[in-house]
Amino acid sequence: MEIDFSKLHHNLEDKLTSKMLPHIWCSGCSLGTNLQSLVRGATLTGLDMDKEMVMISGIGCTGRASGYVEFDGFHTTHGRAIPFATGVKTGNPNLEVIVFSGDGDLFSIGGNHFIHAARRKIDLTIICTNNSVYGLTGGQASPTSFEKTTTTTTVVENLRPFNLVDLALGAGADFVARYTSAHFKILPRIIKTAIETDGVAFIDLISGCPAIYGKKNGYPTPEYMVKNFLEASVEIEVKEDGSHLLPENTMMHFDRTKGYTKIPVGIFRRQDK
Amino acid sequence: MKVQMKKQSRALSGRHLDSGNIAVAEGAIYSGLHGYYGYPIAPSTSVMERIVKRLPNLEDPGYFLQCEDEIASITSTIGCSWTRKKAMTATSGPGFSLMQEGIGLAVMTETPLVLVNVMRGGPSTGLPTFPGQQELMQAHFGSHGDYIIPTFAPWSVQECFDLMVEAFNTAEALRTPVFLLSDQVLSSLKEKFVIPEEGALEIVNRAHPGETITWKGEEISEEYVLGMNCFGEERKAFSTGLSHDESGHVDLSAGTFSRMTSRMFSKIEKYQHLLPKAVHHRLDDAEIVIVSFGSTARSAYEAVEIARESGKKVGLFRLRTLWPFPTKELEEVTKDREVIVVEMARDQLTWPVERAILRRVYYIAYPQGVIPPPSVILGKIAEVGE
Amino acid sequence: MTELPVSHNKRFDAYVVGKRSNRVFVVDRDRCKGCRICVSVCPYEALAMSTDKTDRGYFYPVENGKCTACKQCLYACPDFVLSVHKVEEVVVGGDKQ
Repeated sequence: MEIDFSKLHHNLEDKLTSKMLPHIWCSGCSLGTNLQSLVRGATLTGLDMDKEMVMISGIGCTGRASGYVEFDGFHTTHGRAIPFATGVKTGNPNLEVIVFSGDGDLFSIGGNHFIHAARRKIDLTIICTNNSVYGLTGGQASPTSFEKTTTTTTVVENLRPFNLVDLALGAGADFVARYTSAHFKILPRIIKTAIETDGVAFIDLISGCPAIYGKKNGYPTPEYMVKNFLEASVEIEVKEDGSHLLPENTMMHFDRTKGYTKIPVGIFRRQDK
Repeated sequence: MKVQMKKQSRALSGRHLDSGNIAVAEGAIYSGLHGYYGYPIAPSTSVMERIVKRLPNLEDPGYFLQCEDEIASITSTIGCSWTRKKAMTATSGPGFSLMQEGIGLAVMTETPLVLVNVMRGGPSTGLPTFPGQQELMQAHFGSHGDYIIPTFAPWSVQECFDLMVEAFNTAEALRTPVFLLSDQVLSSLKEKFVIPEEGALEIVNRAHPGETITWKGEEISEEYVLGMNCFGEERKAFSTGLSHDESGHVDLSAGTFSRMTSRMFSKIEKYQHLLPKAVHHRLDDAEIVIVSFGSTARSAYEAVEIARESGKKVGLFRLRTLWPFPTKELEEVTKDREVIVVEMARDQLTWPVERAILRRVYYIAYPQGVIPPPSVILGKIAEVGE
Repeated sequence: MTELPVSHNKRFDAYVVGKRSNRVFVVDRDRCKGCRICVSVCPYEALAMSTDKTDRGYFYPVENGKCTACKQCLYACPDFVLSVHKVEEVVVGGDKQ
């Protein structure tokens, strides 16, 4: 038996823009795993990546993602993935539109666009690869960087981070979930559900930046990071009185010497518009 | 004009008496507008308010959205265009400034769209309800980087309609954003104008990859304008604001960057002759040429007529395409003649004019939110005569 | 367990794996960045990092015979390096699925 090497390729190769690979992300970066989970999730919906789906990314490490996969896609200016997506969806409502961008792009410069999109309920899926840092530009603080962590623009003191689940719930998103990139076993199904939700679906996808943020703040290797995500994750228990949705119960805890210490995960809200 | 709720035609053909902003809106609808994404700002708001009434009631209804700000407006306009739909937005000075980054994205990704700037006095909040012509240079240099965007300026309500149709055709044929610079006077000035029958005017739609379209009888070559692969069609449709190759994917190499950006300039230059031409008024034997555009040109026209009555040989060169600037034509028309530039700005139109003819010109700067009256222009004509 | 057959070319390492030797586990060395996530997520300790480096300067995973083709490493890999195929899909003269 002899291997025919010309037949070897990744199982998802026909869904990848091979000429652009290997991608620019660091060794162990969560974004590659997240991108694979997105492709797997999109495949589960049965929709045609090229003719029925559009993937829009912003500026940042995550922004490069749309260039690597065979979704119709666009790489917009910083913070503007959501308005671009709104234009696409209202131009052709038959398309499933997915925004795939980072915490800085979506919630710093793009914050205003997020809350209006959540308010309007024009059908969108918004996946935030939340790694709490501006990686592409060298490691500055982001709106979700944790207090008492080190970034190039904060030394030990830092301002409170957004709790993106709380923000999304408050702004009125129809589907709100949080998982980590280490949950690659179930993320495809969560992403499929988000895409199929009629309304604004938001996933706070906790990701790691071991090369920069992790190295300075408690999870310096990719292997440790994966273990840390899984150990810190706590699946939420839905309570009758809704207390599982209180900000103190949905917020994450982080220790700059160890990494994440508590990540409440699960589906926090699920309704169709 | 009464607007009914039953299904309406895109072409409200016939004679109308209405304002420049209404004519702008109707020009867009006639051209096939699908998506309008805007934000209220004086004096452009009535464009948006007309479109919100008309767009959803068409036989092929479009989509209207009032966005959260001007940045969302321009970005959503670009997104809609990428679904092979005609899209536009309208704004004024402060909004035009906010949109500059988005405009850069539109140019770099070669996205067809029309942006209407109803100019008012600036800078900053300035004079919201008075006219200005102070975004001439911003239309060419407002965003960072080198680029050129076809920019048109109407002077009448009829031209507000006509030049909108030209703007959409230019945007589609050359795969580029296009600006229409109106001003506060035109926005609310009511005049008679005519909307032709449906199908009477050429309407251009952008080429698919490999398709050759014609515009004003001329073939648009793929060597200059790449066919546009839009979302939902065959093959991955992709683009980025980063330097990219013909497939739309990132390529930061010097060779690819030069090739692509040079072509973006050449495509405008190559088909420049198809853009709205300047109007020559009494230039054949003129000894003094007045150069202006927009509402200011109405006053300049009047000044020319009055001056001619007293025997002065004055003519008017009225720009309709501001960018690319008609350098050669202006050079020919002003040879051995004196030139007076008049505008509602401090010192903008003088730059392309002096550069075109390589000499200093006489100049009337009138940025105070009022059209310079004919008397002021006649005063300058007299000064030149001495 | 004796060493299972592995073949290489300039880009790929292909291992025949699985209880019934009916799967091929492939490592695309060109894309690997040596992050070691695959080694740490494998439930069967079937992977270890190499001692030599790829052309791009990274250590890469080597399979030791315990792989069951469970695909956990495939899903976890950030770089689209690892893939799993049925033997008949990738052998010379085999059926394409």
